[in-house]
Amino acid sequence: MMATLTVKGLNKTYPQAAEAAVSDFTHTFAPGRITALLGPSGSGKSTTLAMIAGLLEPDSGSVTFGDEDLTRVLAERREFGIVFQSYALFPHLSARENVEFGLRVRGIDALERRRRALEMLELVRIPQLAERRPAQLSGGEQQRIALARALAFKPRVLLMDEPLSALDAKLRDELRAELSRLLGELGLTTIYVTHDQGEAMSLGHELVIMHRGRIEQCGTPSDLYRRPSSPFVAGFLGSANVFEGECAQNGKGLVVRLPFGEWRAPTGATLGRCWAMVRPEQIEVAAPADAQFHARVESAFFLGGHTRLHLRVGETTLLADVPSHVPIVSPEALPLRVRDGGLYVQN
Amino acid sequence: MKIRNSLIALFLTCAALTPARAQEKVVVQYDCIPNYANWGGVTAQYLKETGVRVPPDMKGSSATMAALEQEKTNPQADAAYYSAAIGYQAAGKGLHAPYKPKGWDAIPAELRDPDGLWWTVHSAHVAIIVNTAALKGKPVPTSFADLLKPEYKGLIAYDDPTIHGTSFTFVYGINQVLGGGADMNKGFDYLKALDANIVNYPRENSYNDVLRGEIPIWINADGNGLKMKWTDKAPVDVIIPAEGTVAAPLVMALVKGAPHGDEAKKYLDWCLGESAQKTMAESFFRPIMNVNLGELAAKFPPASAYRKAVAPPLNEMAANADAVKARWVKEVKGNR
Amino acid sequence: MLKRFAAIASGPLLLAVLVVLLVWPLICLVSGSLHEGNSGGAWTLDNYTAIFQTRSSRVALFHSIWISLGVAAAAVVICLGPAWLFVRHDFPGKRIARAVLTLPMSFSGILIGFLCVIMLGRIGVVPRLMEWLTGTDYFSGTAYQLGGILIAYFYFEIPRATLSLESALRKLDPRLELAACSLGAGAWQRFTLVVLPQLWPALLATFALTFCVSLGSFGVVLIVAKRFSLLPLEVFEQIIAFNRYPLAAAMSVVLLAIALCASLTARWATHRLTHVR
Repeated sequence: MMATLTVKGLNKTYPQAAEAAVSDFTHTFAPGRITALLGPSGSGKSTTLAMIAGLLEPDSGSVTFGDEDLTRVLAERREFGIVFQSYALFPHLSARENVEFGLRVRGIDALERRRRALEMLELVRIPQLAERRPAQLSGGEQQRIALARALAFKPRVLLMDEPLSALDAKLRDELRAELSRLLGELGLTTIYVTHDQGEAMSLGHELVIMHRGRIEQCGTPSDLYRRPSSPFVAGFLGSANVFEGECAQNGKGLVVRLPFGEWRAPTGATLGRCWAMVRPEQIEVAAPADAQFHARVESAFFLGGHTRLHLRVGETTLLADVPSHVPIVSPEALPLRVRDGGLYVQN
Repeated sequence: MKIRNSLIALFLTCAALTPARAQEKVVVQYDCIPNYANWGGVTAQYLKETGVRVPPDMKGSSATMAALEQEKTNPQADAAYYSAAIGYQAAGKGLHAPYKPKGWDAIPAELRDPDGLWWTVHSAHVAIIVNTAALKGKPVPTSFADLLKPEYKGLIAYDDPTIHGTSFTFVYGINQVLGGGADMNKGFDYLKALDANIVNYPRENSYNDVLRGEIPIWINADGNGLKMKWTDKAPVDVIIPAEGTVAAPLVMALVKGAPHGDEAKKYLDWCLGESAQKTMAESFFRPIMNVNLGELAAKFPPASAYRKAVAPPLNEMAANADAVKARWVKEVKGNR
Repeated sequence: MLKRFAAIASGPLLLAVLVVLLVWPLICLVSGSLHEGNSGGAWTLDNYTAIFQTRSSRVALFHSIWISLGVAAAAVVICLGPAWLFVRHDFPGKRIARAVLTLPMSFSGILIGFLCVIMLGRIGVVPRLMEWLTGTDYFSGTAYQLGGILIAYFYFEIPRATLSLESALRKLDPRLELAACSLGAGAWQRFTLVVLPQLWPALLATFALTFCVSLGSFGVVLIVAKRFSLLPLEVFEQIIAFNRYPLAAAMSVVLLAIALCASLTARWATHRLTHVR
């Protein structure tokens, strides 16, 4: 049974900073799963990671692994592997020696650590580069070595800080797929810090969304996508049309009044002020008879399978993704409807 | 074009920076240490009387001779001041121009060069200058023999005789004071024994160090010690050693090819005049000219104190100077 | 146009300055050291053999080398501490501490010598303090002994070594130490396995720099040395006291050759450390 990493009430305010970098971060990381810490830059996710790693001392709060309290344990004693955004490979050592480093400081003999290092390099699929220096390697190769180095000493937890952000888009996609395979095989408790929602959703079993030093919401990717707890989460994960509105009672029951019309409120909504979200793909072009509202098409971007429409209803702008094969017959007053269940309302 | 312009600009800049100095008359005297024989006071007096500046120069006698020799083809100095033997030696090297300043006839024949290549301006005697406060209750030594006592270990200094003329006079003359022969062994045996008590052979003038007590016992010209005692009111005793002492005449000369030759002659004349000689006497160096010292006279030690003083012939001292300095380096300083 | 002209003109100008200030004096020095007399004479190697045959100059050369080596080694090792603090840490009084340590950079050797005498002379500050504390004036006159020379030279080298090491430490990436930390390396392992291997070239360069400066420095020993003569002082005395320019020139050439060897060795070693494995 794998031990659980639990973080309670972590706080950190940097000297001379007006606002806390991290406040009251509490989370239990699912053992053997990948948790993505997601947030815009400056949201405190890297600071949180550094405190979990022991590289930064929290102002308050605790880090425990199983029943072991790590709060006062030095980083070098935590047995957590870290992959840094900048790779941080040792320039004076070869790829193999970099991977061996964690074994070397643990006093493992040269033959054994060489065997393990080559094994790790096989795992990240670059055994042929073992004797190269970091300066002679590409960014992607360096990242593989950084990963092999962090895994070689068999850490209890793997921490990754924006590991792919320094790479170009194509390489990033490639490595993301490979990371997914590798982390899946390892079954290691992993915290993956990123500002890229695509990366977070494809790699993370669980997402923790951070905003201004606080956890905004956590859950599975599809959960958060469908049921965001705040307009921030709604807007941060994928595209969303978010509105302020009001739930009111009329003859037929509870309705939501939004700038572009009135909808029957979904179950769970209550009377009073509310905000509502409609994902662009939940808006479809309707037959004129079925139209719930009409909008003017301000622009249309063909994106292959679907076309993104920028729509205007009075003062309100809307995004809609419609299948590319649907003809836009009347761009001045396009008949539209929201799919059933496509309206999400929170009070 | 550009280079020529920049050169012109450079020249104009230099020209603009220099006129203040160019108009000021200067006589350059090598070995013009302000704290030795009151040269600071003498040059200040000359500036006051004539407006001509004689800048200070920290070279000792031997350093002066070396510099003149180096600059032989392109002399920088106008006048030079030395311990007599070194001045004699420098004259022999052809570094001086003959000149007989006003008052020449009053100088005893043995204290001047017949052709005017050097002449004595004042004289002193080697003495033991003691900062009594720095001795902290230890008895004040009264003889050269006393200086060998272990209680003075690390308390005694004399200037590096390869640089400073007064020290050379001491190193040369001590042999005769102690009754040594031509081989000078007796003198060097003494210097070697004294080395055990020496704190340092300073290469820069040590006047202020003695005044502060950093050097409690300094073997140097008596006049410098008397100035500490009377003028600086320091707790200083000037001891004429019981065994006797060495006369230390000090000479001046006109440098061959002096860049300000005419000004230098006026200055050298003035140095033998009444006001210069009196100012020198304020540092208790006995003037060569017969001037009325007034109440200062009473502060000089009585002539009887110098009864046992020796005065080695200058020609011999000059001839052996290099050998004695080399022997001192080898046997005394180099005796590690 | 003007810029190009300036570029074309500055080339020969630089060359001329180089010739006037470096090449020509060097030629004169070497040529002077190979002649018999002060103003020419027959070609000879006697001046060089004289350095090694004369006890005092041989000893001075020996002392020059080992004192400079010792001081350079001490300066590199000891100044690494403050340099590290200045680069990696913020603490109250850091600016003042740094100013105090780097100020002697602008002092001449003679001034350092005088400072040494004021502190460790016969009635220096330290012996007087000792006398007040213990009744015995310990360290009285240390300035004039070997210890004084070592302290004065070391003091002379502190700013040079500190500044040189500081600039090297500033180039080190602190993230590498964090990486080492996460891999389980303790402070000592981080220092020996990560910091030191990257720092070797800078340590060597600093060592060579301080060695060369000590080797050539003359003002310090001019003031404090009694028995310990060093080669630069011998050069001075050969000229001042004995008018032996050719011998002085030969001594200068020897000093130059040693300094050149030191910096070339440092460079070669740096090259080996960083390129060949």
